[in-house]
Amino acid sequence: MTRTEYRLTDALAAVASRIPEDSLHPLVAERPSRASGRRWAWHTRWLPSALAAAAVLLVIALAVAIPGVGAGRPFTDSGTGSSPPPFYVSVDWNDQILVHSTSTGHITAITPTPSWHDGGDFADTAVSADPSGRMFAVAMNDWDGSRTRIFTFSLTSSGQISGLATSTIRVPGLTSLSAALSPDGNELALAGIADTQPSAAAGTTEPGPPRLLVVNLRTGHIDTWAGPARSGGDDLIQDPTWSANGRALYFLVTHCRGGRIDGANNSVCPYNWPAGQEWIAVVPPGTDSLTVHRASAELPSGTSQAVVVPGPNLIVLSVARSARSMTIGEYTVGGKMIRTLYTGMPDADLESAHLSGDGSGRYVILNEDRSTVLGWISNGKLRKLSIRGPFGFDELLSNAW
Amino acid sequence: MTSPVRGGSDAAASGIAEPSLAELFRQHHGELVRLATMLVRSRETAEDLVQDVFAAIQRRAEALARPEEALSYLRSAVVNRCRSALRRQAVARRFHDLRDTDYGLAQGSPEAELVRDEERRAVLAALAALPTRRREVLVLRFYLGLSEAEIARTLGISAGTVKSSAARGLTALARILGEDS
Repeated sequence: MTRTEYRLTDALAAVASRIPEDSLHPLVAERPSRASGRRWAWHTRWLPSALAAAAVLLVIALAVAIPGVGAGRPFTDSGTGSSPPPFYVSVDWNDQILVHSTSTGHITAITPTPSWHDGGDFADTAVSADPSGRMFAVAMNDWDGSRTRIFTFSLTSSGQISGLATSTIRVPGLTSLSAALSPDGNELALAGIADTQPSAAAGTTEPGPPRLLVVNLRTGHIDTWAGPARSGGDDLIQDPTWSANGRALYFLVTHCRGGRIDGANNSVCPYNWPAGQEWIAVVPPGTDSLTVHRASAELPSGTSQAVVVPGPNLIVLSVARSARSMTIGEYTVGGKMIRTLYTGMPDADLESAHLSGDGSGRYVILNEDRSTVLGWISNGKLRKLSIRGPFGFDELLSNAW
Repeated sequence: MTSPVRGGSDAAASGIAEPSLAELFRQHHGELVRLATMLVRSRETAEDLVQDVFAAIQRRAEALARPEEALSYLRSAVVNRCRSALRRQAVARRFHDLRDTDYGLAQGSPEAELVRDEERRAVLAALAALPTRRREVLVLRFYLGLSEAEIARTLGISAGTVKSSAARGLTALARILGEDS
């Protein structure tokens, strides 16, 4: 045993000795209340109703003014699709790209991401498919380099990965990543929280402000939006979705007002943000800046995700304060509820629930409670998929059809 | 509420009652909390994560098809939750904070131990600065004493990757601790 090995063994043994058996809290059969770990601030609407009405009018105006927004593709089977895409793509805990057959659940391809063998360690990841369901983009935050790496590939008709390539575009590091590949496959929208480096000499990074990036995969040009200008809380940008013509982006902005920092230096509402609004960014051709507008008055309290489907309507994942159960509902972009699509298990753990859609937006996938419930929404029911990751790694981090 | 482990095994064939997954979990509760503490560097968080795994396993007895892999499954599940906590909360990105975490060292230590605890803290800070996979490999090897094959099964990687991750992790530790000359 080398000196380093000896010192490591000694240090770990010392940590272990500080945790005697009789000091452990007993395991309890019932799932513990999440209240202590998730004290997000519930609050009433903070916007005057006049502003809310104005926002809805803005959506209508934008829908008229922006070709492809509002009109979109004909879409009549939201939540009623019966023939989902044949393959399901995900990234697992070991940064491997997995392709599953939707019908059998069998893995048809498994490939490490290109940096994996370098000992690369990714802090966050997102997967997106184009509308054809053949071309995919994977975005990964590189732990060491504080940058977001982008990989692209296509799927063959037998579910094999083809043409896996690493983009050379230097994209800033983002955590809480979500991504959307444009209809023509030329642009990748990324949303998340920017890495910051308060001390470059120390090589450390910290979560910074929210960001929406539109990366042109052909030219390398990156458009950036830094989130709404407001104080007194934290914002998170997520779930970008392209309009049919690829010139506008819908995305969710959730706001944690009055959030505080806990002992571990984390915001108390890091994931289950209390209030959300849908926003629209007009994406100009060339290098002009993004033009961003708020679209909805306010989505329900406890909104965790909102995925735009063609029409456009929103599929919103939220948790009701009273019932503490997860609900997936269909809303207008303006924030009006149309119908409930699915109600999850009681005391849902939203931190481990994830909504995603296929490239066409026709199929919405729910990955609930770390793949305990994994399926797509159809006619108000969840059609389960027989998909599991490799043994012991049943939480699929990111997924797309 | 416990859920029996499913599937055939020698124990089942011989009529010996198999421990339920929940019982197995309770038997290794302390070990799992210690393992999680070393990975997330917070005992409170570690206990919460292990409790979450316990609750999830209660809801999901079918997760385990092979009883002989039960303990490996539990360790995998705990490691997964630790990764989830680190990723989701971005705790892992705050190295400077992690280096201040003392894991409870030096609490009530006699003076002679204080110097030694300082050295241990330096080792733990260096460990915290490693990429996740290398840190996990080193903890599983030097705390739990698992073999390369066992670590590979727990982390879902190949034995070759375990070997290279351990070697690179130890090299990095030695460099940070000034022992590589």
